[in-house]
Amino acid sequence: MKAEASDAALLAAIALGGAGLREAEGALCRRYAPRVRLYGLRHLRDEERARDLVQAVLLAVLQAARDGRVREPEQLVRFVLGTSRNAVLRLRELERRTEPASDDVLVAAAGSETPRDPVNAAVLLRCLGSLGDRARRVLEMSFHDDLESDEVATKLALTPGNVRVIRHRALAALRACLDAPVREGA
Amino acid sequence: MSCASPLSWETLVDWWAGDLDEAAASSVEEHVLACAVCSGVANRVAATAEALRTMIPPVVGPERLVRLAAQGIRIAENPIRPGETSDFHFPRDATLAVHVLQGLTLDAGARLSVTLRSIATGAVVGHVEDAPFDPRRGVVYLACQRDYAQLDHDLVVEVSTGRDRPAARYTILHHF
Repeated sequence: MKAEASDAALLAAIALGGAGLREAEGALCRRYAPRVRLYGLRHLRDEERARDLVQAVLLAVLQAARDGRVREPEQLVRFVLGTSRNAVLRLRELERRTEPASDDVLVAAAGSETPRDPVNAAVLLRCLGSLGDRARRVLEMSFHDDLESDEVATKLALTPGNVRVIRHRALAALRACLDAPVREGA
Repeated sequence: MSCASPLSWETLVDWWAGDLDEAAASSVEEHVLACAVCSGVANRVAATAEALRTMIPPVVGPERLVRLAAQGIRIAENPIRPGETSDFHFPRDATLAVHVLQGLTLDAGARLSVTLRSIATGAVVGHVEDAPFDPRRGVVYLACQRDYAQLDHDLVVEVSTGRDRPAARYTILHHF
């Protein structure tokens, strides 16, 4: 089975079991692991805990798919979202790591398939320096100090709407700078 | 691979920053989970924001240094006084070097600005307004990372504590 198979085809293959089971499960995990990790990072703000979330969610998803409890692709997305929400709440409540799953498909999906984008500190410093002072401070207050837009607005004598617009543009400019090839001697 | 109704960069930034209400955030999350295109863009937003969240800024306060040490980061301190030149070799066993800028008059409510300038080009490498400082020791901590080997190695650091006072200058020659 190709990796591009639809969710519906993968769900059907998993529910059916047999020779295509592992391949279908692997494809489903590879598809959803990065997206669940993103959800986890957004809500848990921690890479390790996000990886724990990926394992917990994918384990539940595979179990539901094996039991034939998820039949439609739309149902699958909502199932993944609902499971992710519950798992985040549980992780927050327990404030401890979930036990790693023994399933090697899950381990591979949560680990090696997870996209990484390490940023060189010197490049980040150079790119931040290329932004205007106000834009840089909005980014730092929003994402480094984790302040709400209202708080950033108050500190910089702006409106929350201004803060959001500056943030949109500044983050796009920063991303473009980080992605740009380094010029010789720059 | 395509998306019939792609989420905008602005929406994804607002989502990541926590600026959407619950219903809107939930709608974005469902879309991102279902859509390869938008999860790719969301990943770019996330990677950029995470780089900012986890970065060690060039000037750090004492609390941040304590947290970094608690995380097991090996920190080497390099004390330096105004007007001095420090010939600094980044220790092999350190993850982070901290230049401890001494000799400053720091009132409790002081507002500092720190400027890093390349000696070779005169260009500003970094500038921090309202820089944090350690009022107890009366010092500013300048954090230096191995990645900075890519930048100009020889810097003049200027710390300004107010318009009516001359800036303190420190020269640091780095060897990575």
